[in-house]
Amino acid sequence: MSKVQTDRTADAIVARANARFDKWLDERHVATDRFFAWLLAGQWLFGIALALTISPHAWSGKVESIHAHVWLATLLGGAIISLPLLLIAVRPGRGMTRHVVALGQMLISALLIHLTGGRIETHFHVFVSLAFLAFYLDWRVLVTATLVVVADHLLLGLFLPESVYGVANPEWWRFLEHAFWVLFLISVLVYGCASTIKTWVGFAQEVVMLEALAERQLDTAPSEGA
Amino acid sequence: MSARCLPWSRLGLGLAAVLWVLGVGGGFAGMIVYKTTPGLAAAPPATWPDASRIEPAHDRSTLVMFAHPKCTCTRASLHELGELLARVDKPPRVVVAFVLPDGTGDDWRDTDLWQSAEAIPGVSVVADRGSREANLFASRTSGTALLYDAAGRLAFAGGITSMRGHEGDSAGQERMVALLSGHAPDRATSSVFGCDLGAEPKEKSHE
Amino acid sequence: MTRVAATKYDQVSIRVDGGGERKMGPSEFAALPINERVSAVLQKRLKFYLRGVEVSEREALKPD
Repeated sequence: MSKVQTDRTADAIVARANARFDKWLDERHVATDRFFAWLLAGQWLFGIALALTISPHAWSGKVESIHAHVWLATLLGGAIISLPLLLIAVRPGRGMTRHVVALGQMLISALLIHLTGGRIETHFHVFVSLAFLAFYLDWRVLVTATLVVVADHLLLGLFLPESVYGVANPEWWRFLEHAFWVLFLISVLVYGCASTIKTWVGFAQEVVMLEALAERQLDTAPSEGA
Repeated sequence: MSARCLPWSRLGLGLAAVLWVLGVGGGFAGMIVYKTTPGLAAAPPATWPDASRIEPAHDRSTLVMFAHPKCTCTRASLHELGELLARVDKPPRVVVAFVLPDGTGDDWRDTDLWQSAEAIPGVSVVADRGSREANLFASRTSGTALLYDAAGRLAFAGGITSMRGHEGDSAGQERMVALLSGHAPDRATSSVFGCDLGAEPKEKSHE
Repeated sequence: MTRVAATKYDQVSIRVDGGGERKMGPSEFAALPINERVSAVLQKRLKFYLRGVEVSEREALKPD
């Protein structure tokens, strides 16, 4: 085999391997999208159940009405998950879909926190959500999610600091304390995503080398390029 | 890219995204407005009303909180009441009066809020049948806290939460603590966040 | 790649243009561009060794 033929054969083998890896990653993204479709829908229903349990009614004297939290959980919750679910249905596996899912997931966190009156325990949902988003193995999605948390803290911290920090006049550096824990988790998750991708690239390359060996032993030219 | 994409045009998805941003943004804005819109402010008498059946203390301040037994936002007010009392060295006499409008049954006395109030150390819980006391003290919103000094003079009227159903520090709590610690607060009132007590209106006003 | 190589071989020899040989460890070999490694396999320019003893390509490249 001449050098030119060899290089062409090598390119074809590597291109096939890249296509296989891309397909695997796309399948991973689509499967994670489906997971989030169920998760988002489940969280929406959970929010409604939470509102119906904690604050089902508002009162004016002895006249009861449906509490605003029930409407918020139903309508705002439904609105939050609508675009992610639409994109999961019509554009599964796409980068934009993952980012919108991340937006939706973090906004659901914000809604649940408000439905429970800022309860500390509900804030754990933020960290759990970031961990789930790591299933995409796409670090950029984690950045999007983190930006939502930052924006929420900045806006509410400016106008309603008690809702974020639990005190009326937080120290100027208080947001750094919150930022530290989020960044700590994000660093670990990003490393995990990158490490997993690297491992799978390594596996794919092992297969490529074996294919090259088989190709040489069969002594056939590649049937197609990329 | 997946082969499962369905035929939605970029324009269609773009419109959906715009609607989504507006809907979700509007929803959150509405939620914040709801949570931070106070209830009707109290217009209590400047001195302890003689007609009240609640006995005030004469050797210290008296704090009376009016609460709707079923108002979920008041859960936070009661929690903050407990926090407030833990912060002061000389706690006042504290009475939580649950307002029971005419025609309500015994199930209005058997609520988790009632039990929560009874569980706070140093707090007396009374039933305000027919909203009599709420009317006397002109309190319209659940969670209204009134502080009268040992001489029966009104020192503070308002709420002790920062927004509806939200635990944590608030301007009202800080002012109450300042008063009970012998300091002058910046204001003698604060917003109250809770359900309408349904008491007889003396005047309608928002803080 | 490095994990596999550690058990299958500890040295790689690549025949370069001009007849010479370039020796390297598993990590250095894994760091070469994949196209270069595939070309080397196709042109039979690789030899793998484990503790000084040559091992077959098939054994060396077999994944765990």
